[in-house]
Amino acid sequence: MKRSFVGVLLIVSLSFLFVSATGAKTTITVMNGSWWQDQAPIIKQQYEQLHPDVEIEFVLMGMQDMWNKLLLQLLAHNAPDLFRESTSWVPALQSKGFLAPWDEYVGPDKLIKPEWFASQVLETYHFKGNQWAIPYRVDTCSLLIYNRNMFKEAGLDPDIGPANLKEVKEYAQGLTNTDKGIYGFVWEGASSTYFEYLLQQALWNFGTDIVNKEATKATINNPSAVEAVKFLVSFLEEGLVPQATMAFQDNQGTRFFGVQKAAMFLCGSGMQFTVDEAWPDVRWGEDVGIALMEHPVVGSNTYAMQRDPDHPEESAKFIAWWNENLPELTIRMPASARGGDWVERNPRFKPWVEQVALAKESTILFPEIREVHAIAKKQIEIAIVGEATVQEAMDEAAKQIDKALSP
Amino acid sequence: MYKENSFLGNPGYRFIAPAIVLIMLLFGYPVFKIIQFSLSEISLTTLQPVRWVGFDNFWDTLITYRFVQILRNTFVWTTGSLVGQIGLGFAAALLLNKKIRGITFFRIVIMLPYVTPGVVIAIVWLFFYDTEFGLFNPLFIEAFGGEKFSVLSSASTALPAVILVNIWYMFPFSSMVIRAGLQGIPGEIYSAAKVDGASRFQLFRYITLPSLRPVLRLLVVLQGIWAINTFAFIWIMTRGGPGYSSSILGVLAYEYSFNFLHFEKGAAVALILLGVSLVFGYIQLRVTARKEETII
Repeated sequence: MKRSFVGVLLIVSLSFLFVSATGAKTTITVMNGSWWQDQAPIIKQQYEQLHPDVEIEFVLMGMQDMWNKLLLQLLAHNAPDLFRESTSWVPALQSKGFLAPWDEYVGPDKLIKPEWFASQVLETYHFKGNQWAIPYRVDTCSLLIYNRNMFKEAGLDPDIGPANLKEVKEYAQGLTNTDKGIYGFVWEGASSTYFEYLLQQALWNFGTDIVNKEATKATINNPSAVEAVKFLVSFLEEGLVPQATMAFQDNQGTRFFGVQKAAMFLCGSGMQFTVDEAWPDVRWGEDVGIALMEHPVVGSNTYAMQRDPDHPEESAKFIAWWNENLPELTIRMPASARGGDWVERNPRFKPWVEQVALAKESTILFPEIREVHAIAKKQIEIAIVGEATVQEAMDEAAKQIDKALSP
Repeated sequence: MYKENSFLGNPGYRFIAPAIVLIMLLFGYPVFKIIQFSLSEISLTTLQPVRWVGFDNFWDTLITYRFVQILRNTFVWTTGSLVGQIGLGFAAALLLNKKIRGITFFRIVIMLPYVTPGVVIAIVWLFFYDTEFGLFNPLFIEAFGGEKFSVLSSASTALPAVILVNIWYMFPFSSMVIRAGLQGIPGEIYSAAKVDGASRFQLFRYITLPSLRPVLRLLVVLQGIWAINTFAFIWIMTRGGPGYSSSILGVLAYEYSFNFLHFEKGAAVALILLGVSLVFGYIQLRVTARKEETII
């Protein structure tokens, strides 16, 4: 009886082993945003058709939850094989030992070829001697869109927009009409990521940055940086920007522009569709003008691999395929240039592609970047609400940043 | 085997022993880990201490990020929420305790905020407060005059505005509990007092209020603990801003841990929050207990 039971157990085990050795698929889990819900099944189907031995399992979630859920999964050693990261996430997660390097798969004769990518986009994520993320999407929120009709009413030439933030302020002064409740300019909420881009752009306009190039010391309280912050605060003090944009609410700026209560808006390529929703009969080109700006901030979405990947090579193959085919699958600006005539087929994105190409400066990446940005934003808010002068607030910010950067 | 009066000899202790073990595991272990984290530098990949740093995480927390302002905000948030929730809940309970036609409908309607998910409530109120597109400004200007202002962008109004949301969300619970308490007061006492010529105020002051004291005491403790630990509304509606004007200890702990990956400092703030909760709870119990002794 005992012997026959062991025999049956052996046969069942061997059968399982045989089935798993011959028929099992490699499953790659991929975490990304819920905005991929339409494309994800198509991507899955296409990739699995080409690679019958691989199963792609998408885990999609809202942007608000993504960081926390990813972090908890990483802490529990239960993270997906591949996950989407914003620019600032990469050094933060790398410094805590959560990421696996991609170097084995990136190179002229390897799976992912550097020449696919626009200059510096790939290099941004090469630090501490390794490649820590592979970009797949690039964008900028530094491009200015403006209401041409309001320009005409204010006596401004609707064919010529401002070229930098200092000119934006001059234009805003002419465009603001308090009687009609119209603001010259609007930006996204001070608590949102977009404000980080605006701050960065303002600092670059004034020839400075939040921290020094080595990311060892705060520079946000140097005279140029204080001038840059005073410049931003003055938009609110002079009533050129609605106070409401200081509230934490997504798409506040887009809505102000869309319902024609603000004349100018710094807009990302994806945000043009939100403007369409808020302003249903908008005619781009006729109602809305576009102006390329100096010192644009370029960001990208990347894929990272968790530190103990189950299938690193299969994951790298998938990312190579993704970068090759992304332009065909979605209307998002691809980081890879392999789309060829993508811009011609998606002409609405042309200004953003041109704006990205104008980028000269790149964001300094360092592990404490999220904390440093948060400190800077908080102190700017304190200056805006008048609890401290700009100089005092930036001195306090510098003190806190230096502490955060200290080893 | 054991003496009847000893810990192991008493069957009562043996009956509750499994529950105590479970509580120790579910409560004791996390508290131990939080204490361990707060006194050390930890590796996030192993979640183990790599270096003991003593009280450095506490000092860092106390020195930076306007700790005093955040502590004050925590007090204002908790007290404001508590007073509003119980005050409004009391008023609603007195109204809903009347035997009038259609009262069941109102009893159900008043529970709606409490049964709606908090996130939904926060988003609805965000739209309500919206300066340009929300209803708050037109209503406020209609009632009090003045000009449009951004409630959540102002350092003086952001915290009160979110406290109002917290009150609106939780007062139905107070109302429900207080109404249950009201129904437990025998009608004969009121009848007897009326015969003696007691006024409405006297009925309330000398019968209703003392009879509800155990219920109110329970509410003060429960809702105080909930309020001090709740931060979802603040996080969703203001992120603690502008500046630190609506930031509370819960927000700070969350920011340290999840935004900046300083779980050690987050743990230190969590322990401070635990201490504040205990002090707050103790004071509440002492105050309500003392009143009970003097009145009855």
